[in-house]
Amino acid sequence: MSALSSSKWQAKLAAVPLPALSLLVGILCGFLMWLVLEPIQDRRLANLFHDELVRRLDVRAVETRQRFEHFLQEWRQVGSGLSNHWRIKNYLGSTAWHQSKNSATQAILHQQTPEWLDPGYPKLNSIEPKHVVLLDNRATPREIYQKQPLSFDLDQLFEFYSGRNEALVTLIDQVPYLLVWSNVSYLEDDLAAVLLLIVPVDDQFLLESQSMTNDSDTLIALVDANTLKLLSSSNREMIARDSHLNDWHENYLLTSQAITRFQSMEQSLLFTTLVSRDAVEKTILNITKLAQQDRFLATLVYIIVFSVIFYLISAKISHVLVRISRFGQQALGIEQPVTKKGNQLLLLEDWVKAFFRQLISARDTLRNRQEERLRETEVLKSALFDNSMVSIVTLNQEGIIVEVNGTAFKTFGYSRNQLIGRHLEEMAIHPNDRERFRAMLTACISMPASNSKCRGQAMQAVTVNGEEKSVECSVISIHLHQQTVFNVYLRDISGQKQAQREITSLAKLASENPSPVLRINKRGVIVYANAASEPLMGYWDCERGQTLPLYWKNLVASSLREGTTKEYEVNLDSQIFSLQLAPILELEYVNIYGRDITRIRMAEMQSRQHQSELVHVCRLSTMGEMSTGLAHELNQPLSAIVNFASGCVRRMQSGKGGEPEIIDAIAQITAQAERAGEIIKRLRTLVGKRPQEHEVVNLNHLVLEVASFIEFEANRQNVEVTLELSEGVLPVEVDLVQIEQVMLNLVRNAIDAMKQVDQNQRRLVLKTGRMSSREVQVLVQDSGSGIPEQTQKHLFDAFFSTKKSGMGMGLPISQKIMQDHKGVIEVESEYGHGATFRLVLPSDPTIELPGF
Amino acid sequence: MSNRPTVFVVDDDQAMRNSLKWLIESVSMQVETFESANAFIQSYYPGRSGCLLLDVRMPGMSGLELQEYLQVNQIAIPVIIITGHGDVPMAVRAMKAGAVDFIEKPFNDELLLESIRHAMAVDAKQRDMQSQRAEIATRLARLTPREHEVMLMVTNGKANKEIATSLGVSSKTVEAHRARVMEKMEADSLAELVRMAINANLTLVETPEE
Repeated sequence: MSALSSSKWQAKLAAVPLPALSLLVGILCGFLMWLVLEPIQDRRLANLFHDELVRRLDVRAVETRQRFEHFLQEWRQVGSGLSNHWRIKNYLGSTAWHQSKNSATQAILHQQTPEWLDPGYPKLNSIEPKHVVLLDNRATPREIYQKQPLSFDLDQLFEFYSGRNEALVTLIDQVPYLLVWSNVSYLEDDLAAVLLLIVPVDDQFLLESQSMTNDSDTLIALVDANTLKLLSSSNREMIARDSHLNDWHENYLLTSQAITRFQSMEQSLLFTTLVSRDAVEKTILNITKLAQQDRFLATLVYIIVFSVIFYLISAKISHVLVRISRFGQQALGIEQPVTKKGNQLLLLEDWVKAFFRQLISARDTLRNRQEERLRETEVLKSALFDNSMVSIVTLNQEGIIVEVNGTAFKTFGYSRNQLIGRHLEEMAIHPNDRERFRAMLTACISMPASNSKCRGQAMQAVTVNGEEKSVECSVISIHLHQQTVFNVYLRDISGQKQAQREITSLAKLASENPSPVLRINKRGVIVYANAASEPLMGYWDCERGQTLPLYWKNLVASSLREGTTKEYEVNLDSQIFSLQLAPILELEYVNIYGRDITRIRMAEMQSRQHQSELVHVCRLSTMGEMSTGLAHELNQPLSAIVNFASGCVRRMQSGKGGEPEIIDAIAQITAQAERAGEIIKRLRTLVGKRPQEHEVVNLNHLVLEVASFIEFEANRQNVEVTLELSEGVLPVEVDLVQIEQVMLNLVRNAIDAMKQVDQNQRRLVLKTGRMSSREVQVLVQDSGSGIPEQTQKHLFDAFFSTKKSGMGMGLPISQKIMQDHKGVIEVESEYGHGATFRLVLPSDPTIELPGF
Repeated sequence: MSNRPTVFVVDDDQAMRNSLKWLIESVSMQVETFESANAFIQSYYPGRSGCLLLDVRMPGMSGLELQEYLQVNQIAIPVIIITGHGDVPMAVRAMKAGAVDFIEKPFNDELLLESIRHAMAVDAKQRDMQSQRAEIATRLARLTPREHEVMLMVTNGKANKEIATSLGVSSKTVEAHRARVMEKMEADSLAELVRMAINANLTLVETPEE
């Protein structure tokens, strides 16, 4: 199950195109790399950064402290600057100083800038000293310049005075102050006075001390080392005063340093640098992100490079495998697992396995086939040997039979065992020929098999029954390793001789044939002609071996070209021949088989004549039947003539009639006489016997003529005749009289059929039309009682009639006429609903009508 | 329209009609022609004197059919049938149906005209008879029932006495009735009275013999 699914997977994988697979593998490797490297690298990076941060923090702390100390230093210089100012020197020389020195015990407080102080000077940046105190050389404060009243006792400050110019940060009432001591010298007295600047080290101070940098993430603060409470900070909003330093560990990295240079021994202030952890974290995050991006890029490059390399390699291998597989398929005919698309790499193992398997199977097949072929050859040979039409006998050197084939013992009537080991000549050769046979054997030892002495010698052989047979004997000597053997071939030629005799007798078939038989070659030369062809050759005026007249030569050529048998008619003076030209394509001959058809043609001619006479008789009969109607019709004008004439005579006798009247009557007589003449003319066309001939006429005209013939008859019978003639011309090539007679028969039958019907119901429709491009039709429809089914069967039988006076010849003759015209006559009738006769005639629409 | 005797010619052939008209007019008779039986029926009204010259074979209503129609409608115009050659069976049928004559085409003019004259005479006679009958009928109408009875008996050859007995009156009374009948009927003689009675198809109501 798992093997199956794994192979299925493999197959699926193999179908994946190589670039895709390469990409897949590349991406997979990239991801693996990513997964492995990511945590390790991140951790290492974090460690690295942490160390770096700590180092940087130290540096920053030192920097801030140095800036702070530098600021303090500046304050010291401000102090010494003030103490060396000319105003203070001047003041020390003045009397006011000396008076106050001597008299007053209380220090003088100045609200305004005192005269010993440079009004704009005691300032650093925006920081101003809170108090400026001028002390005498006994360290008694003599004059104090203050913006605000002093919040503490001044005396306690003096314990910080060491007698040197120095700046000290001191905590007074838990508030840090900067005390700047500057000795003022006057004349020789080095220590004439001391100038003290008291500056609160507040938030502003701290901020100003760091004003050189804009690092907002770094804060500084002063902390009481004992209580770890914040005394002041550079940013009051973020770091509140009096808070405990430990509170800030969470959000800041702290570094505390002592400012020993600016502190008295007993003071314990710490200078603390706070760096915001957020900022640090952010930096780390930024860097990590950057590192990740770098890593991603690297991975991408890695994937691409890997994919490309993998693809190139595998494509190359795949390509090679495909080529080898194709080669295997084409050259060795062995199947190799090749996928049309996708890669071959995955199939490599299968491929190799299949290759070996097929190699082995191909080897086996080849071996089997060879063995099979060997076997077949053996079988074929033995079959050939046994079933050969020739008797084959193998003799050893002494003429003793070693092997015989089936034909041999069938021919001679012995069994195989009876023959082997015996002398052939004794067993099968006629005593008269034994000598010759022995001589043949001897001769053949030294002669090649093609020598005529060893081949086709006619001999008489004898069978077991003593029957003699003509055979053709051939001998081949076969020189084997140790001995010479003979193959004797005896061919029974008695059948062949019989066949020859038969062929000779067959030739008589043509030569003794009473009908002409000729053979003409492709050039029109008479190759053969039997005796009966003499009249034909007389007609053509040529002999055997001469060329036919051009017309016939062309017919022969076309028959050969088309390869079809055709028949032609030749009308000699006394005979008519039908000649069938039968091409024999492979020999390029045309055989002409003649047939005397004189009698047939004569009979046909007679039959035609008979038919023509029959039609005439038929017509006369029609005439007779129609005579009543005609007589009546003729009576009309004749009576009118008589009446007019009598009227004229009477008028003239009585002298009553006017001349114009008489003339008018005579004109009427003329008209009526013409009318009678017209009727008689029609009669004549109906009766007149025209020679039988085909002419092209318009079928519509034919129908019109017939309609005029039967007009009287139809009137007499009160039959309403309707003509529905097709608009176009319907050319037919017919014998007018005959086709007219057919129609007359049908129309008369129709009129007769309607005698039983009520006078108002008698309708006859004559319809013409084209059925197809090759056929036209005439329909004769009556409204008579129709034809019973039983009668319909016999309609066209001769002497079948339903009429009392009928001969029963009308329809049979009509049918014969239609057949002669290659037309059809058919009837359709439902008993009680009239009958429709249909005449169909062939019509070539391209024929032109004479006179049109 | 004058009631001159007219020859009515019915034939579907125009030449035939024209020639007949021409021939008959030559003897100064009035001729009217019709191309079909229907045309004739539509224009003819009873009472017109004359005769009918009828072609037996015509499309539509044939000659025989027209004859039948005339009979059914009690139009007693004499009919001469014209037939074609060999239509003898048809002619026989026509004669049986009461035609006065039949003539075969083509006509002998004398024969035709003679036939027409004859037919005209028949017609005249018929008309005369008819007018007489009408006269007698008006006279009969003037008789009282008793006089009618007396007349019947008289014309049946009853003697006055017999009449008196059967009517139960005196001979004198019968005499008187008889004289009045003669007067009313405008009869000059008994023979005339009898003729009138026959003409009027009066039949005697037979009284049982005593």
